Amino acid sequence: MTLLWRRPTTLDGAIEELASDDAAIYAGGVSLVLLMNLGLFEPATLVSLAAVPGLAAVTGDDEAVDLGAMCTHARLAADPILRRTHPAAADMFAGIGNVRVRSWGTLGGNLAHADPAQDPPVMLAALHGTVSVVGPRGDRVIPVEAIAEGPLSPALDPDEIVTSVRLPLAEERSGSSYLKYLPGTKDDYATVSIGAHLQFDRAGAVRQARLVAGAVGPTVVVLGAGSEVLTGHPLDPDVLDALRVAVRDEVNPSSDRRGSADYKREMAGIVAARAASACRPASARP
Amino acid sequence: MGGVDVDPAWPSIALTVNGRRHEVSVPADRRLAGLLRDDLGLTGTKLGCEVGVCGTCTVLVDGLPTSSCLTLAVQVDGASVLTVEGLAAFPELAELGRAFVEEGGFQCGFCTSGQLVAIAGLMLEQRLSSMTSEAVTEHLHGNLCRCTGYYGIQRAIDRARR
Ligand code: FES
Ligand code: FES
Repeated sequence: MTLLWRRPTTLDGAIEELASDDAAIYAGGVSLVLLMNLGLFEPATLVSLAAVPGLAAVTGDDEAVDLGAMCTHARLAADPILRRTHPAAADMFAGIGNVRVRSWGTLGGNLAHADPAQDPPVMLAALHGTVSVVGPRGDRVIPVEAIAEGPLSPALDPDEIVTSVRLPLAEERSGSSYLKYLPGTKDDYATVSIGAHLQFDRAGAVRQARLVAGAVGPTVVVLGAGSEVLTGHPLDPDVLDALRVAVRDEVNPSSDRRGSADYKREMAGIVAARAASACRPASARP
Repeated sequence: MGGVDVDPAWPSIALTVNGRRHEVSVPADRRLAGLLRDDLGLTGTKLGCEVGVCGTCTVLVDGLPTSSCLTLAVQVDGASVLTVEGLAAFPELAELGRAFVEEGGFQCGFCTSGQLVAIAGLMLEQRLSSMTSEAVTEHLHGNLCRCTGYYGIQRAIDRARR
């Protein structure tokens, strides 16, 4: 089959091009060409977003920061606004894959790839991120964790385009962290990863907790039970151990070469406890 | 900037490779590695894994370290590409090549062009000497070598950093 390359210069133009059969959005190409090289994906038309203006900006207001879908991981890792508002997210972007993946891989491409073992959806869902999507039937906003239906199955129509991710600014006395457990090589997929965002009251107890797990299910998992265990308690060793147990029992991983299901369950609990500890605001650390 | 897409199956692109300008028409699915190796005869860029992991295909696109196996040629329309063949034009990189030879930075050599391009990217931006050795290792962890155990490569980099 002969592949066609389209390079529209407007968002509407891109949506129109995507109406043709087997058309796919081309962002940075990293995941898409990888699937093509493996023979797992054979699009008829690639619609590049590189010439569509306005998709690669980072802007902030007094409520949130908006990350353009065509921002590369390297750009976000170094972005001065994101570094200031969400340093744990900037660090997460700096740790994705290897330097070449970060050069070209984009935020929108990553989320639309719907891989539950990738880093951004886990951290960004923990930070209450929402995704803006445009398409021929109108615009919509969905939570980051709702962008995937299953592995490599985005909850998007083929002619819908992710344009940005919005992260609300962190509340007072809150902290965030992202931890991934990589028993193999540094650029491997995680055995399990945890994004955490905790808000504390004046006395140091957790007011609100949000924990999200990656690589332990068909999509990223918001850990409801895990978050409940923390609410109302300071992060003392007993509470962290209860969190470990709750998360271990809440996730549902499958066995693969990165670990057996049981092993991943154990590690999910341990990594969650560590990620929660790392959320303590600097002033509250022992 | 780049050419006009007359034929979406064979887009025309214009790019600079190692300082030389090329205007070519390529099939839309041509990978950058294929353009460099097969169309332009620059076979110093190697293909190992073709899934972005090994780093043998590393080139710099407008200074960015890039897996040429995961990049379409049309994607770099208008860009400036530097491959291992282009490194000789930079006198400040001469010591890097010498250090690789004298410190045993390679055995079979298959990974070497990728290693050199990845390190050259840091040197050309004048970042290498101010980076911690952990940061250099982090930058290079995606360039695999099955021969040297990395010791020779590490020594060569340490020398080039001075
Ligand atoms: S061949 Fe491109 S990274 Fe291995
Ligand atoms: S020298 Fe043989 S792979 Fe590195």
